[in-house]
Amino acid sequence: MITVQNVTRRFGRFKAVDDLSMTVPQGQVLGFLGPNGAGKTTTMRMISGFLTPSSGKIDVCGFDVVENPVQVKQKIGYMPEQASSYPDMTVLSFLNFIAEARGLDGSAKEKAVAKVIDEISLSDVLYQTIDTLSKGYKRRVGLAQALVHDPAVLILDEPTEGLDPNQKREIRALIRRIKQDKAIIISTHVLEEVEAICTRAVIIDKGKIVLDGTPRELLALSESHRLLYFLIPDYQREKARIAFEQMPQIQKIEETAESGKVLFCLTPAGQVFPAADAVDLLRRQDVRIEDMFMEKGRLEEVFYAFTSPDREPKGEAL
Amino acid sequence: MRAVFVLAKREFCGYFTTPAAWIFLMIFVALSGILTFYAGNFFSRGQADLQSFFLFQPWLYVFLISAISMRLWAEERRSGTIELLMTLPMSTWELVLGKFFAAWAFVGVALLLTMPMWVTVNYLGRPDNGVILVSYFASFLMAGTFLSVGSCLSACTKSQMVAFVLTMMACILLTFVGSDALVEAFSSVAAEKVLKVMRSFGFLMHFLSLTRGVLDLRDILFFVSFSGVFLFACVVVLDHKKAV
Repeated sequence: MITVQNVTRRFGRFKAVDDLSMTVPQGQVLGFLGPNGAGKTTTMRMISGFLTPSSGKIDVCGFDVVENPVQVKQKIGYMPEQASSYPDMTVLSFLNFIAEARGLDGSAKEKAVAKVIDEISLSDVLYQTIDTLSKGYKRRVGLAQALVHDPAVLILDEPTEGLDPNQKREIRALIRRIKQDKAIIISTHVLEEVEAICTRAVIIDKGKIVLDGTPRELLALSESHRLLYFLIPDYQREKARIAFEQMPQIQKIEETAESGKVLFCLTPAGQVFPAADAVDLLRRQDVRIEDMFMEKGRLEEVFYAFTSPDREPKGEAL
Repeated sequence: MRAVFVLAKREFCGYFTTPAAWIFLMIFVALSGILTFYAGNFFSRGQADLQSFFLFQPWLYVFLISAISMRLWAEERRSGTIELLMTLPMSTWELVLGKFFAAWAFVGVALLLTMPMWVTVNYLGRPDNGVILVSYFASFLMAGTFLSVGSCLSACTKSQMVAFVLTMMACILLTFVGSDALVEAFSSVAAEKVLKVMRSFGFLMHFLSLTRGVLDLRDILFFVSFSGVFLFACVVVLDHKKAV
């Protein structure tokens, strides 16, 4: 639904986006990650038609962003990073205005506005002017204006920034509910969000894509991916250690003492899966396993590894 | 055109949500009165017409139109709502026209509020109401032209103050350029052709010729085409300088 082809955007001599290409099909929720200034907002602004690319082509639902801007904008719901509403309007009059501007009229307009008010639970603040609202409500109004015309493409620039955990949860639930027939791009700094709602994650840095894959694939690149933890009672510490040392699949053993218990952290050697064997072994030795879990990886580590200024140069990992 | 109407409606209603708009209307009406009665010698002229009212309108507009037009785009830029506006499914033309018509309608309201002046003159004597009607029309037309200039200059900057000062300077220049005093001052250095152009570009001349009650198509065309040029310039500026 969204096709970005070799798009570059310059501001003066600075290249904000550098030969970027990607495709987002229907049903996909793409998490757009990257450090500040990496080009996320610029890319989203170009897709939504606010900025024109210096070179390259962007296509939304079959329409070219530069040649048919109005048709493209009609298909898109866009929530800018800041100031996504007029502060001196009331919530209701603002949503009505957006609905009208999006071409809705009469009963269709009323229905659409009522639906979005219900979905984003704005009914308590309908008659307040937007500048009197809390930050969370302001973001929600911004989201509501992006959703009111039920767009095929949704572009959200840090939609949950400034929201409390409950509000974030609601927004995520909403996105999961509506994602089936839409293509959605979400930029965020909240990495847990990517795991929670995105079906694909793209990390960009200095205007280029450095990593592109499902959240699971990205997690697999994390250093802590597959770390295996066992919580063992303190009096069985020696027994457990000896058992682990016997296992060739385990590369490294670390121990941390925790009030009467020991937490073993095992690093597997390569792409092996030692958990089952380890459990068997401990059972045979009569070691009591208080708890056991496996680290699925941390996006934060991957993010840092691929975008920190002093990283070692890595090729395309996927 | 529907988009123009939707946007104009929002903008127009938007004026009345802020106290600034009400203050503006009050000042406009008060100043019109003061200028007419004191500076224009409304009573001592002993004529039942509104010449002294319309004579000072260009000068009132120089300040007051600049005050309206300064926020048209500069405010959207500063607050960042221009991003919201420009991602709505409207062409830049529709955005420019929507905002322009709303501001123009607002000036129309201000002009309507000077109706007591017309009532007064009708109470005092028997003026030629045709002339007054044409003069109101001319005034409204000229206000629109000033607004188009202001709209374009407001699109160039983030700062309302800069927009205000630039628009005021531009409006003074446009009003003055055809005035006898200025043309005379240049008569020794400039060629006759240049002077002719200067004269034809002055707002004052076109306005005054309309307020005499002559609906000259050339004067109307002058204002309309002048507005068109600046609104077009506004579209160009916005398309080229969306962010920042």
